[in-house]
Amino acid sequence: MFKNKFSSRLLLLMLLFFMGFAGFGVVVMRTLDRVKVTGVVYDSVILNKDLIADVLPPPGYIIEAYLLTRLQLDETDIDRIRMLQASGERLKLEFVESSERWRKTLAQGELRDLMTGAALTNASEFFSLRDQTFQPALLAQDLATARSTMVKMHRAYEAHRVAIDRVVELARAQYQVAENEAKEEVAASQQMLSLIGLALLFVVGFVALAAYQMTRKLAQRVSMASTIAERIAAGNLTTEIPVLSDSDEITELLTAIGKMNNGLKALVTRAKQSTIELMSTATEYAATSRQQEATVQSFGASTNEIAAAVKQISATSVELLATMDKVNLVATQTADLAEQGQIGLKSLDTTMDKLALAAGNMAARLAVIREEAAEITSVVTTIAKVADQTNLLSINAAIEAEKAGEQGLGFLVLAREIRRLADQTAVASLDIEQMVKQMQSAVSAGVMEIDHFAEEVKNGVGGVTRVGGQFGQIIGQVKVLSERFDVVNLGMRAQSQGARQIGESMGQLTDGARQTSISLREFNGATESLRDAVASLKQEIAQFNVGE
Amino acid sequence: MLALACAAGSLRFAIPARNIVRVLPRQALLPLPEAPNSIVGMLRFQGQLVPTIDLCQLVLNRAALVCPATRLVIVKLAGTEDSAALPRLLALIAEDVLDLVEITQSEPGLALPDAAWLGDFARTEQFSLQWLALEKLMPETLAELASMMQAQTLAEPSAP
Repeated sequence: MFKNKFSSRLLLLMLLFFMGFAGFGVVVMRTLDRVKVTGVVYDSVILNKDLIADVLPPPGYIIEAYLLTRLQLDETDIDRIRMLQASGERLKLEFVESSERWRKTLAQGELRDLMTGAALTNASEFFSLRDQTFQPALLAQDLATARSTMVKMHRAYEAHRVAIDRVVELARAQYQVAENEAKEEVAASQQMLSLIGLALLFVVGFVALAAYQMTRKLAQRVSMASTIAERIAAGNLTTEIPVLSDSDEITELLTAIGKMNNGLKALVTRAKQSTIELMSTATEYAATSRQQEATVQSFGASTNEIAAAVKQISATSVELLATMDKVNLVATQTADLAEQGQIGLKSLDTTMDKLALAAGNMAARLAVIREEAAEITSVVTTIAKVADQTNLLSINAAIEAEKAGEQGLGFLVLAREIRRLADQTAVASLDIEQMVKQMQSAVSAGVMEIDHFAEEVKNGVGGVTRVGGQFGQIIGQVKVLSERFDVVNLGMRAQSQGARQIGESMGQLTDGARQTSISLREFNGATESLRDAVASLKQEIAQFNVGE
Repeated sequence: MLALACAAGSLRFAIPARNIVRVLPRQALLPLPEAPNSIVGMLRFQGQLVPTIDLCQLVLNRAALVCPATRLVIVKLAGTEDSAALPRLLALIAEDVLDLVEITQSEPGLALPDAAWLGDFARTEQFSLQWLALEKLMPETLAELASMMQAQTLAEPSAP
């Protein structure tokens, strides 16, 4: 627990001192406590008290009250009696007070029993007889009653006196005992004190010896440590630190100095390296900062260019915005036109429907005409057939008439006439047929035309519907386009704003670049001074000898 | 001299009225396989099977137009003057058989070896045409064959 450290040793010494003093103090205190009756102050107090006790009648003893009653009995003057009575009253009060005090102060024992028992009861009886019977009788001039009561009171007083005598005897015996004890105690204490004094002498001698030894050892080691520290302070970091076996503060100090030395050595070595590195770094810094300056200058130029470009972009986007607005206007107009067109197309649609209906009617009528023509053709065909047959008949008849010779001549003429008629009929029928055919073809053409027309009208209706739909689409798309335009417009506006902001930022950037350039120049200067500082640091560090 | 005017395309021909037996509308013919192109079939006429020649086929090497004026002309050939024997008949399909004309003048035509059936030129008051040499219309072999067939027809009295 107690290592061989200075602090421990000092603590031990202190502890020894303290224990010695404590033991001494305890002994002295105890002696003083026990023998405190023998002090000078106490003696004077006791003296005065003894004087008063000798001079004054004791309150605990009722002799004065008894004597006063005797005086009262002999006295005839009523005023004197009253005066004596008042004194007697006071004495009673003093007695009561005294007996009360003793009852509290006295230890349990025979003395207390006497004081509170026999002495008190008899005194009380005396006082009660005096106050209740003797005093009234005396005041009433009833001397007989007073005397008889006086006899009773005398008996009570006698009993009280016997008890008090006993008390005095007991107290005296106890006092003797206590005095003897005190004397013995004081003698014992004197012996003890002389013993303690011897012990103190011994302790002081031991402590002085120990302190001398410790101080010498301490001085040696401290001087050693200081020598080492001075060497280190001079910059010699190669000093060997002796390793001591004892583990005290100085050893720790030496160890700490050793650690410090090693740390310093490492630090200085590192610092040397660092200064070299720092030197190169500073040089690099200077180069780099010069480079950076150049870069920043070119950067400034670039930012200027960019700013110009951004300005152009901004202007272009503004133009584009205007164009977009125009396009939007045109699109809106287109949508309006398309709506108008849609309305027009609707009326066109109804017209087309009417046309289709009319075409249908015409086609129906043409069909009727075709039927009629077909009937005509059939009739004409019949006529043509008849004519043909008539022709044939007349030819054959003419041939037969030719064969008949002279007789057939008239018939031959007739046959010729018939043939001519038939020919005319045939020609007429042919003409009719031709006309009907032409009409038919015309009707067919008309029907075709009308069909074509109806088809075209249908197509037209379809086309109109399609166109209407397309118009609707156009309107819808234009509306969508309009919305998109709005979005694009917003975007363009944002872009324009953004470009302006970029331009401003570019301006700021240029300023920043200029400032950076200035800062770099300053930095350059700082680097130069850093290099100088490093050089001086190098010189400083060179003073340290690290044994390289 | 009265003649029946007929045509093959634009060529106009005349047939002597005295040689004509009957003019008929076109009608169905019995087919005659393996025959030359001009002989288009056999016509049943008054219980006789009459060989029929398409004039257009002969002259223009095409079939006659289907038309009311295209008719069958049945002619009587020479050598059958006696009334006892059945007359030698030939049917011609000709176009524009519509009229009889009075031939006022005749002139000799060219005698072509491949078209022996072309006769003399004939002229009316309005226009001119060409006689058909009816005897030379039929090739020799076929003429004989036709005679044989006519004989067969005679032998079978069941003809309508």
